[in-house]
Amino acid sequence: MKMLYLLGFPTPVLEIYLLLAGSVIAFALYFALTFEDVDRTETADRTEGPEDDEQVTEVSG
Amino acid sequence: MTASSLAPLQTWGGEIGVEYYSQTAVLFLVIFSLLMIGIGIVASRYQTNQEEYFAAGRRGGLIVIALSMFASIQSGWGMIGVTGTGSLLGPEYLMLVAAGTPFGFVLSYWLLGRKMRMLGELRNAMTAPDAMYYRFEDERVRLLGIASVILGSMGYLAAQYAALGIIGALILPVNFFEALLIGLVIVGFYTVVGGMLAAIWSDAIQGAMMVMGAILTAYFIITNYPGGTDAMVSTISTQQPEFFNFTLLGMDGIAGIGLLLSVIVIQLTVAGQPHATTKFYMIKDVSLLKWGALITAFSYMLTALYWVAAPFVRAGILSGEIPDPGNPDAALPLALVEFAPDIVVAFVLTSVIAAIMSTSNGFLNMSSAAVVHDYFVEHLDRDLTDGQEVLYGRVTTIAILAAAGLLAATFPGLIFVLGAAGWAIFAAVIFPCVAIAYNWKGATAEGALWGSLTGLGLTLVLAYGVEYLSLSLPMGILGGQLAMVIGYVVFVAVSLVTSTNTYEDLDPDIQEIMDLGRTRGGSVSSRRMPDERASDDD
Repeated sequence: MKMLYLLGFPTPVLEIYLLLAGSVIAFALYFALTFEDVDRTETADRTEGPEDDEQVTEVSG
Repeated sequence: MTASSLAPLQTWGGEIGVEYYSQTAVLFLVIFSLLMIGIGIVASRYQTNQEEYFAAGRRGGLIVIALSMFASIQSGWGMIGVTGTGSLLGPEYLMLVAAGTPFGFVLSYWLLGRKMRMLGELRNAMTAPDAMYYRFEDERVRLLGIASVILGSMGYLAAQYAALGIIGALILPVNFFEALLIGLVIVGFYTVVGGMLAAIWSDAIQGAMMVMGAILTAYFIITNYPGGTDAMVSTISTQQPEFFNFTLLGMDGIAGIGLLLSVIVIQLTVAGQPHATTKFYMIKDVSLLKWGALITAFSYMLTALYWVAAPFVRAGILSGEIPDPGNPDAALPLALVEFAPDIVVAFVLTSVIAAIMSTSNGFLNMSSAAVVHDYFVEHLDRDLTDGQEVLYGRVTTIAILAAAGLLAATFPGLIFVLGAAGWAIFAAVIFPCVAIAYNWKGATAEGALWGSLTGLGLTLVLAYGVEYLSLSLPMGILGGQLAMVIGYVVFVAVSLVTSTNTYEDLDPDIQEIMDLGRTRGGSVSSRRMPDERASDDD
């Protein structure tokens, strides 16, 4: 029997799986390499004074 | 080709055609059970309020959350059911599950990771119905979420416990019902006592065991099968060549195209599975999500090595090398008993039980949260003390455990179809109302209600009703997955022609969460009220 595909399968079973799995890993790597922390803008507690509602402090994460 | 012909009736509580007894396996199971009970006791020290009980105190690290997420999805259904179904349908089905589910995980991180973590931080959200309510600010949407979580958990738990009974009866000198009872007591104990913290700790251990078990399974089956891979391929190519064909590529494959499309729908909607995505609430810092998708997806891919057993069992049966057990769900245990040394069989069977337990404790905790947190605390606005919340959570967990165990012991259905139906109930409601809605500003409360109701109602009819009436859908289509798709179409269509609670109507912090980029960009402003701070300080 002529073996055309990986491990001698008669159809490209492994080739297609490796292609699909590689795409998934590439997607996961894209997610990781582009991922950034979330910037938080904190507003102080209201108990600290009536003006606090308007006070905004930028905090970069 | 029909679904019933693809997944023969499960012999609930009956023989699975594999003779096995090993003192090593009993020892492994006892050690594993004691470890889980110990984890429950240690975690119980942290159970002081509902945030601790249902959201693990938001103290999860990267590895724990990433492993816990994959372990909560990889289950008895996946390891026993997929191996069995794969031994009937061939590698096309297996590769779709093996690549599609990890893709679903990465998609979940991408769609929801940052958004749900920040929702937990800003709104103290801890459940899927929480996320649904905050997005649509409609109590009816929350109630739909509660119904989905409870009904989906019941179906999925029953499938898990059936598998638990089967494998337990294989390892221990007890019957199906006794094994089921023992399993329920162990998983019930550490979940009830230790809450979600015990669940995610045990999930991480169980996840690591699953990965190791999968590698061992593949190695010993490939190396010990007479003639190895060449003989397996040769036997199947000669006696059942269509086993290797690809239906989706237009060949004369075994699997119905409707079934394969249903499987793809399942994989794409991992983000609608609350036992997976609520883990995003629990990670201690949003930045830790960065490598989570890769770890979760890769771990799941490694556990796909269990499914290597499927073609070897098919070849063994075709060549007469191994006896036909008459039940496809026996494929994995059969392959192990035939080709792996005793200590490996013992370890792998214990890891299968680990998979079942890790999935089921997530469901128990989640459905308990649906009743206590979502219904009593949030919907009815009952002012429960922290102690009452934990107590009610534990009582509800026991009640759900008992109900699901009863269902598992008596339901005359299929593990494969039952699992798919449970998945559909979750995904019909939670995927559109959370995964889509937090990424689509045009989603409306009416769209959420009509789409979810349609999906949920049709799932009950097409997934469960069809089975009770002994009917089947054409081309192997799974009823629950068809219902999900119809529900999504209704969700989008109704949202397009209505306008209640679209993006413009939402609170500023929810708008900020929706504006967050899926991997970068956006910012949130948090304002912590005095009573929230006091509560946190407690």
